[in-house]
Amino acid sequence: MTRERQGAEAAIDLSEEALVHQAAAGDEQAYGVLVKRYYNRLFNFVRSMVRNEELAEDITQESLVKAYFSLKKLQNPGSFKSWLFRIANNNTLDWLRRKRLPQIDVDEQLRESYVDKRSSPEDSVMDDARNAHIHAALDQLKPDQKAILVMCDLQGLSYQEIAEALKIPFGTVQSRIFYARRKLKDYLDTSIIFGGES
Amino acid sequence: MGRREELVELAAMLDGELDDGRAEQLYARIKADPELMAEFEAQRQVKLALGRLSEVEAPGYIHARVMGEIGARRGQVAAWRWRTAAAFVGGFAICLLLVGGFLYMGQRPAANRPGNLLLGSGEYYSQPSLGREALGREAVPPEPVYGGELGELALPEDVDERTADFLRFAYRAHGYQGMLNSAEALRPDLPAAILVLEGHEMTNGNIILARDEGER
Repeated sequence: MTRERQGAEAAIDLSEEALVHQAAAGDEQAYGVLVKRYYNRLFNFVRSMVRNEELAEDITQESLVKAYFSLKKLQNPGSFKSWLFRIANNNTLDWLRRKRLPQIDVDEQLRESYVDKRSSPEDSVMDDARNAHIHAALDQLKPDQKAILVMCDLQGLSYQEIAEALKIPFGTVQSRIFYARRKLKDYLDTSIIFGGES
Repeated sequence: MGRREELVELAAMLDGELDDGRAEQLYARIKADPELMAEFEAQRQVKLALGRLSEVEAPGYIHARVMGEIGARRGQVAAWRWRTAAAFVGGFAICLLLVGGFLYMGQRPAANRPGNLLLGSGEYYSQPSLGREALGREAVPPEPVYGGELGELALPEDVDERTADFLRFAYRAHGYQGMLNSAEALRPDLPAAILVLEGHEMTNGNIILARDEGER
């Protein structure tokens, strides 16, 4: 990483810390900037977890509102992103535990994804089939395994950020990601995903 | 380093989380060990597959919804704080009034307490219910100590002991002359009396009279 880039990132971090400070002092506009910065990522994270857009909207909204009213409890404003993901993850897991999503027949979905792939010549349909297949495989994982993979591989959080978000040691993040990927591999058909290109 | 640690580090290496020195060492090990290589490849494929999942653009109204909800809840919180503060102040004021009232009552002469009745002469009589209570229950102490500065009250012999106790009590509470004046105003046909009200009606003769010849 170049020194200039490090400096630029530090500046971004600083401005984010300043925003967090202002928001914690009750500045809604400052919090609005933070919401703009993160709502899309949070939404996609939650959506990958619950596989339901309306519900993902609700959980994302609730997480961001909850974060605003808990900002004073955030001891290190530099960890705002991890902290936000932690809130969203906890809300999502709570929801999954309490409400129970309508049971998805994963095997059925896997079968459908195979059929889709074979029956449709269109790229978009291929993409849909591939996405459906990966999601169906992800659904076979335990929620915490799924969350850690979504954070790492979809949302691009660093191990340190994941460790902060999940409140687990760095080494645990490393091993959980390894085993979660290994398990997911068992459910994935790489021919569907890569179509012979990997 | 054990096999397990080595395997687990494959994920960290793939994610760029190992320092350069350790990554080079592990890379050399991967090239030399087919099992490690297969595991690394499996990890890579899964990461690649997840990376291919298309993300969607979150609806823009989420931002507006979040900010609107924050504004609404802030309003609720502010209203709740005001209500709580108002309830606290109100409760405190009521407590102050009650305490003040009790203190005031404690300092008033016995005759002025509620439950006594002000007659036209400005004197007080106990209400019938109080008198009956005092006569019938524990309101009159078993060992009366009334008397003192006012001197002993002379009672007719036919007054029973319980009534006598009460009369002495009334005598102390109301003062002798005040009681006589009020008794006369109430029953001008009687020469002298200490009134002890027993019934509910003060003026219909529902009273016990005790002659006090000595004081009169």
